[in-house]
Amino acid sequence: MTNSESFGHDLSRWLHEDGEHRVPDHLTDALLETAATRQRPWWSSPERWLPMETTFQARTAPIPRLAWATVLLAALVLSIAMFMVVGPGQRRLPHFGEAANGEIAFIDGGTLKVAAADGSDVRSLVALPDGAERLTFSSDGTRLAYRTTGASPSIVVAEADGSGAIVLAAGPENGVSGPIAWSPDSRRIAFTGAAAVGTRTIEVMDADGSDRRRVFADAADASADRFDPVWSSDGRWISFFSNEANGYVALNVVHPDGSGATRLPTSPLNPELLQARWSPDPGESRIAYVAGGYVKVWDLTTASETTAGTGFWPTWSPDGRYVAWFGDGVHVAAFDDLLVGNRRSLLLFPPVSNDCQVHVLASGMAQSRLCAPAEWSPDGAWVYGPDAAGTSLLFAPSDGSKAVRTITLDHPIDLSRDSPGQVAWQPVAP
Amino acid sequence: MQQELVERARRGDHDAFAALAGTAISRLDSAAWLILRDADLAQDAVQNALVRAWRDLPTLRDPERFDAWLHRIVVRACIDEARRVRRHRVDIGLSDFHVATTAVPGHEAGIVLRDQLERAFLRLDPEMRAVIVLHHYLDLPLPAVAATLGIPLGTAKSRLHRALDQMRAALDADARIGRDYAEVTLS
Repeated sequence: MTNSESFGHDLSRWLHEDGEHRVPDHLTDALLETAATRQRPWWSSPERWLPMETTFQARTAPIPRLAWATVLLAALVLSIAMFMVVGPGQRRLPHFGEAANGEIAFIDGGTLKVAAADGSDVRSLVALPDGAERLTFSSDGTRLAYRTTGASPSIVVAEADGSGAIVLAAGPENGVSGPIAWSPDSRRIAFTGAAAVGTRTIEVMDADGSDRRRVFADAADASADRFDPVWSSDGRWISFFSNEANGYVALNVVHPDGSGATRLPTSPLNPELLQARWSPDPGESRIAYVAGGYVKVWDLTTASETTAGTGFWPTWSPDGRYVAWFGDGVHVAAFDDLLVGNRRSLLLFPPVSNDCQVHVLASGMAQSRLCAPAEWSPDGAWVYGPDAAGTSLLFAPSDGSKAVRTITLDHPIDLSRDSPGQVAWQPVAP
Repeated sequence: MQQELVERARRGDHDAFAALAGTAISRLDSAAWLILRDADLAQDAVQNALVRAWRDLPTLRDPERFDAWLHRIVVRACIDEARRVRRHRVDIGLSDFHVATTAVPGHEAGIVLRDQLERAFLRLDPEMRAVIVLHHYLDLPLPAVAATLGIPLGTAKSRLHRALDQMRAALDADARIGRDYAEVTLS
């Protein structure tokens, strides 16, 4: 036993005797799991691109000059090719970055009002045209966009206090529906415009109304119906929905210059719950949507889909670390937890039924329950939205730690329209 | 044949991956059991490793390295499992084990030796067990052990040396206790 060779021999024999008795019976389970797992794309590993080994020993060895030259040449060719193919349309736009809470702007009847960040000091600013909705601050918080509805819808941009309003586009062919999407550098907006009869297309223009153009050259094609653009946080993509010939609705992305249009292979979307929200983290390319009654997230980088939970109205915390959604109440979950299959979530606001049946709630109950997309304050500390009766705005700490704040409205919000966007929180420099 | 299966699996052919997994699972399961000494943990580790292998297979550049790559994933999964469990489990005192005497002849001596080896092996941390299993069970030469674990060759050598030293020390301690026990009993 003291002899080294004998010890090694005894050890090997024991290991073989001990190990050989194993009869694994879990292969089928493992294969069922692998069959349900999506493979990573081959190009996602640097090892497939660069002449490197996985061992430390090889990494410390000098890399031949020829290999270096090959890598540099390949990188150069790739850079030129990418520039030729996508041009400046894919460039990242400067992101506003971290923000603090400015004033809370909201539409009360026909008036634009603001309140201090703690809900106090409510003031009326300006009168708005009838049916104003989709109140949206630019990423830097200096301007406000909204849409007017009715016979001649228009898209309006104003200063943050509502003054200096400019009608950027007016007429039935403009701003049919859906969100007004600011670019992350606050210079341009994207919106849904009318194309051929009965179809819609994606348009972009500068925030002063100049340089208006359609993203797709085939916008007049009566078979192409595209709508609800949302700008990604790094400015390289615009997401939109499209009605497909097979009757399904697809989630797509395209570069702002019209290149790189791609239909995302998501699970089948719920056509009645078409919502897309990009992660505000400009370092990630993640987009949340609703498919099969679940809130899901598509990651463009890994081409993978993550499930958050049952419900709809997904929104992201400003740092992109948390996802909120509505599913009989407002759920908040850490995206890192969701990535590893941990669907633990925090429930904010008392639950209501999954379809927000306000009529079954007594008035007092409805006024304490949120039944709209849970928007996030610019600093991420609060989530907010109109109550289930539309008579007040509710603000709850995103960690569930404190009491809910309320701003009572003089004129109830018409919640029969899907997420009319009557309230927005101004981001300001921290 | 294996290389062709790897190529097919890399392109998303799940049947090819099933064939590769079917060939390897006995070996992987045994290695995981030897490192973790717990059937459930070993099963979890192998299952996690197979899922990861399938997911990441398209990123494997050299199909000829499939076996080493798979071993590496399994060993890492075992070490992860062991660390996870160590965080949540109260260690059982070694005094709970029966200490055998050395005065046992023939067939029984073999049983005692295996018992002593197992106790000594259990005292090693999972990284050390992994080096021993790769070298003494899967019969990988040390450069391949280093490549599998992603560590320098020198580290693999010193880790194996320390592991064997610790086992020998544990066996010697067992033997001393056995002698003392025998002497006390006889007197």
